[in-house]
Amino acid sequence: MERALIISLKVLAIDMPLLALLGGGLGWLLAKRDFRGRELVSLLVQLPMILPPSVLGLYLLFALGRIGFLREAGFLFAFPAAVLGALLPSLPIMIQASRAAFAGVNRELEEAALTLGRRPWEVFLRVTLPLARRTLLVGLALSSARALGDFGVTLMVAGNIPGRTQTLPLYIYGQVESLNFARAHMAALLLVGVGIASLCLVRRLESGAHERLA
Amino acid sequence: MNDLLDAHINESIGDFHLDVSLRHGREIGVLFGPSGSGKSVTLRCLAGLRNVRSGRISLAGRVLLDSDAGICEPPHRRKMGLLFQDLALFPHLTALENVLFGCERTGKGRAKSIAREWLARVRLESLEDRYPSQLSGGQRQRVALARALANEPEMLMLDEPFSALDGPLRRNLRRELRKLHAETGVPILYVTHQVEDICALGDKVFFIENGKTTGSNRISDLIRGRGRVDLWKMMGWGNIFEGNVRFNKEGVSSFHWASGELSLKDVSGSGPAIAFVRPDRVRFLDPRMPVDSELSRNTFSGKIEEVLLDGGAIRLHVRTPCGHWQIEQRETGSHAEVSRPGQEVHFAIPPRAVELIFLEEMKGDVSLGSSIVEVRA
Repeated sequence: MERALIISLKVLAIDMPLLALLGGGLGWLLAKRDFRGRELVSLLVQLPMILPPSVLGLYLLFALGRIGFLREAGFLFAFPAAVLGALLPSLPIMIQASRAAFAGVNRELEEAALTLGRRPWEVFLRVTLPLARRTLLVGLALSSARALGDFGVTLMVAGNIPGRTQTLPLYIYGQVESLNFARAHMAALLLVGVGIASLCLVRRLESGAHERLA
Repeated sequence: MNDLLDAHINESIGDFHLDVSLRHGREIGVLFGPSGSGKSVTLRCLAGLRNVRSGRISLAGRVLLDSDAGICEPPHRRKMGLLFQDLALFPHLTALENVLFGCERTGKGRAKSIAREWLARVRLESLEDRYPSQLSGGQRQRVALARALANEPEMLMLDEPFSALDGPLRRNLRRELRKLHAETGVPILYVTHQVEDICALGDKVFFIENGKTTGSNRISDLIRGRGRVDLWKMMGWGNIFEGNVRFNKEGVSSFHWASGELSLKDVSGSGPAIAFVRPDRVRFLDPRMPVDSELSRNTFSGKIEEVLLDGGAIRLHVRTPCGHWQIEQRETGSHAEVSRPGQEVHFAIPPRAVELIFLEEMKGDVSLGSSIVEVRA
C-alpha cells in the first residue's frame, strides 16, 4: 500500500499546482474577459465533468497514442498518464470554482485600485486574489480530492501497474480482485479520512468567507 | 482662473450619445443633471476606466487622452481620484490599510505616518483597525475620502457618494469636503442630481442633459438670479425663496419673503438669505386632523396646478397666495386618488426642512460652504 500511497501523493503534488494555475487561469479568463466564443469554451471545459470516465479515458488514450509527439514522449501507461488522467476530470471543478470566485470580486474595487495608481498586476495580487482566495481554496480542495480519487480515467490511460501507475483507488480495486479485503479496507479508510478532512476544510473556509466579507 | 482640466469627450454607448465639454479650474465644480443623463459615464471616461473613441483630455498640462494623436493614458497613470457611489472600500483591509493603499506609492517610507495623518484629518484615528463592515456609513465615506486624497490626485471626482445618507450626515460631510478642499487645494468635480448639493457644495456648476453638457455657471450668480434662466429652469426642482431671516422678541427665528413667512428652528444667523425646501420634505395635511404644534405656523393651502407621475413619486405644482410650491410624495395610492389638478390641498413645511444660505457671506464670490447654516435635525 505504501507504494500506491506514494504514487497517489506524487500525482497530487504535480496536479495541485497544475489545477491552481490552469483552473485558476481559465476561470479568471471566463469571469473577467469578454471574448468571442467564451460560452463555447465554458461549455467545452465543463464537459470532462459530465462525461463518463471511460469516454474521457478513451479519448485521452487515443490522443496519447496517436498524436506524434505525445506518443514519442511515452506518456501512455506511465506515470505522466496517471497525472493527466487524474487532472482532466478534476479540472472543471477548479475552473467552475475560480470563475465564480473571480466573478464575485466587485469590479469597482479593482477600478478603485487602478485609480489609486496601482498597475493591473498589482491590483490582481492585492485586491482580486485576496478577495477571491477563499472560494479559490474551496475549489482547490474539492478538485484535489477528485484528482486523488480518480479511478476510471487513470485505469484507461495509465493502466494498473503496481509501483508505476497504481494509485490508491486502483490499489483498492486490485486488492478486492485478489480478495485481500483487509488491505482494501485500510486504503479505503485512508481515502475516506482525506475526503472528510477536505470537506471540513471547505466548510471552514466557506463559513469564514461569510463572516468577514458579508 | 486657469483651466486645470480641459476635456472633450465624444462617445456612443448603444443609442446613447455622450458629448461632453468641461473646463475646470481649482475650485469645486458640480456636474449636475437628472439620472441617466450621463454623469457617471463622464467620470469613468475622465478616469480612464472607459475607452473613449474620440476626444481629448488634458489635466494640469498633461495630455491624458488624445484620440487623434493615439494617446490614451491608462487609469493608474492619470492621477485622477474617483470616489465611487458605493465607495469601493477594500473589505479585506482595515481603515488604515485602505488609506495606506492610497499612499504607499506616493509616500514611500513615510507611508504609514501619512496614512495615520489622513485618518486623523477625517477624525477616524481611533478606528484605524476596523474593517469597512465595522464602520458606519459616514465613517466609511471619510475613509474613502482619506484614501482618495492620500494618493495625492491632481483632481478628485466624486460620484454622488453622499446620496445614500440622511440629511444631517450629508450636511456634515459636505462641509467636511469643503474643508478638505480648502486645505489641500485639490480641485474637485462632484456629480449629483440634487439641487441642494449644488447650493451647498459648489463654486461652479456644469449642466448635463441627455449626454450633452449644456453650459456652466458660477453658483453665486445662479442663486442671485443672474444665471441663464434656461439653465436655472432645467434644474427646475426645489422651492427657492429669497428673503430675510429675523428673530422676534422671544428669540424665535423665522424667514420672511415677499409673500410669506416660515418659522425656523436652531438657526443662529440673521439677514438676507435664500431659503431652500426640498419638495419631498413638504408634508401633506388632512384638514380634519389636528396639526403638530411645530408645523402649525408653517401651513399653507393652495390649488393643484399640475400633477406629474415620475417613477414611484408624484410631483405636484401647487399655487398658493404665498407663491408657487413643488411637492413630491411617494406614490402610496391614497395620494394618487386625491391629487387632481384644480383640487385644494393643505400642506406644511417642517422647520428643520428649511435650508438657508445667507447672502451676506456670498458677496464677492466667497465660497458658499461657510455660509450654509446647519439646520440640525
